[in-house]
Amino acid sequence: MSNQEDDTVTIEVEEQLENVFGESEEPGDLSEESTEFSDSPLRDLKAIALSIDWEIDDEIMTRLNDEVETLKEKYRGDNVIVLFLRLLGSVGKYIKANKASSHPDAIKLLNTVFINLEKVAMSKGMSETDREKRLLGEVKRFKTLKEDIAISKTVGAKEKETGVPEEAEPMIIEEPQQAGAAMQEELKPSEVEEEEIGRVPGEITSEISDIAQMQPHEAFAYALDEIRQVIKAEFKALRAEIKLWREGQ
Amino acid sequence: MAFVNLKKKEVQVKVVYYGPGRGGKTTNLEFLFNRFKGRIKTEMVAIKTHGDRTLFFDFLPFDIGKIKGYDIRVQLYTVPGQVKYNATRRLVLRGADGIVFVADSMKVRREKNLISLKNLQENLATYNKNIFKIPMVMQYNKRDLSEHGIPLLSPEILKNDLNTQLKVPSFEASALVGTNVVPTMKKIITMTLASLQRELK
Amino acid sequence: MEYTLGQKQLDGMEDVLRQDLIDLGVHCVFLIDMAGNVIVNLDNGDIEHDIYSLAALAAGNFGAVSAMAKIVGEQEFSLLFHKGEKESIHFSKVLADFLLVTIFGKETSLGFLRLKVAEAIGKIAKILEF
Repeated sequence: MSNQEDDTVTIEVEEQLENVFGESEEPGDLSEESTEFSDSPLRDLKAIALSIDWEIDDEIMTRLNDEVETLKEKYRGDNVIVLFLRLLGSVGKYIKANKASSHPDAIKLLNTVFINLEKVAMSKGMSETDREKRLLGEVKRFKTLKEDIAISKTVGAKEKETGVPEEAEPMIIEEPQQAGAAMQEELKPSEVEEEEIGRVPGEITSEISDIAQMQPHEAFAYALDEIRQVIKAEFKALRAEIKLWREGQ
Repeated sequence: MAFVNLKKKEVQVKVVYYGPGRGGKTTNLEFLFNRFKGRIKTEMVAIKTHGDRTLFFDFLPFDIGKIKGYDIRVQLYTVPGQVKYNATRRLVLRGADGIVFVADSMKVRREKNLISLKNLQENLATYNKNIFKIPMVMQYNKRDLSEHGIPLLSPEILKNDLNTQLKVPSFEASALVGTNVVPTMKKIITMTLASLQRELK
Repeated sequence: MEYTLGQKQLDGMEDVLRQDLIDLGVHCVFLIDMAGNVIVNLDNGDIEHDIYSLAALAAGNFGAVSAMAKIVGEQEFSLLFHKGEKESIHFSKVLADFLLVTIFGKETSLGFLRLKVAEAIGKIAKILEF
């Protein structure tokens, strides 16, 4: 009997320990996050994120942008969090501009960025390495999304050339500009000197493991450079697109 | 309203079994479902109260095969008969192409039959449908109760009460044992499709 | 009363629903009329639901909720949505007589789905009115 009791207790304890100390990279459902938020500076942002889960309109996306700006000020000294917020702001602007035409992964990215930002901001004991690891994970997703968007837009422009009607077309030139403008903001390295940003070639996937060995400022610089690479790719696609459009005129 | 799908070459029609509470509407469908389970591939949907009374509707869809090159899909519905469920009745009646009025032959239910028929007329009118024009069959149900000594209204009285003006086909039936349940159903489907064909021309 | 829809219309609506919703990752989508008839029915290949029963219930459900809205003084409720653990259902009116029902999983955000549904409905309405 006592053995059975022990087993039950063990299971319960293990479950509890998992709840408290377990870490999961699953995107999950925002509403299932059980972190205490009553006095947190992220409370309003969370409310906005939950709202977006239910309905996407100009009002809520504007509120998201405003809140991101406010929080950037609040978390001024914290580079990792500020970058998270910039990601959030950029994706938010893209979704606001494109609404139903947004790439489906944009919404998913908004969720994962928020969830990781939440974890980073609320977990006091998290190491700098872990924080940057999470940030870089999101930057990688951001980069992938931007590439996917650039590709699908080039395809859309080609279709226009062949006469296939598309209602979203009139926006197509503006969209990349808006997204591009949003992306430009990411590049302002207010806290880091230009000289510190070195070129780190190669795919981020193979280098995530190396990041743990980098110094904090190196990892941060790396993150910024990744964003810069993404913007370059974006402009390259944009130029190709404009060219196609001009040829189609 | 009947839906004709030119792509699939399919016609969908809706038939509603209407009548006073406890009159035998659900029993009609249950009999059909049990009898033809092998041929009716789909389940019957019944939304009931704990007391086994229809709360929302019963639903029984089935295919009756090809007619003039079109697959005919019939959807039978019942409405809840209790007076308090009028809003629900009106809802279920929406888009009905044919009606089976299931009258309760019990003497004590005479008034209820009349109220229910009037109610049908009113609810149809909310959809700009005329009770005199919609395909309809009258069923005088529970005839088997006479064997149990329960006072019943004669078919003549029922006809006088309910069918003098409407003049629609009628059947004396017993849904519980199945008497004339199938003929009722066949008649209403025939009438509904005939009416549909006329309208389509 | 009856109505007829031709091949071109039905194909057009299928295309819209496939491109705007199924390709998004939605599990199942069907367009019905308020009598519960199924007009267009698409899924992602993994679904084996009893669509006809779902359609009858959906029409009844939507009708009941609309009636409730009128009682409380609303023209209509702007969101009818049932959240499940794995599967959720969203309802949206198309013109006066039709209903678009979408069944989707956790991987699809409701907010984004609502945007896509609104867009799809605009296109479908044009096809139906034609």
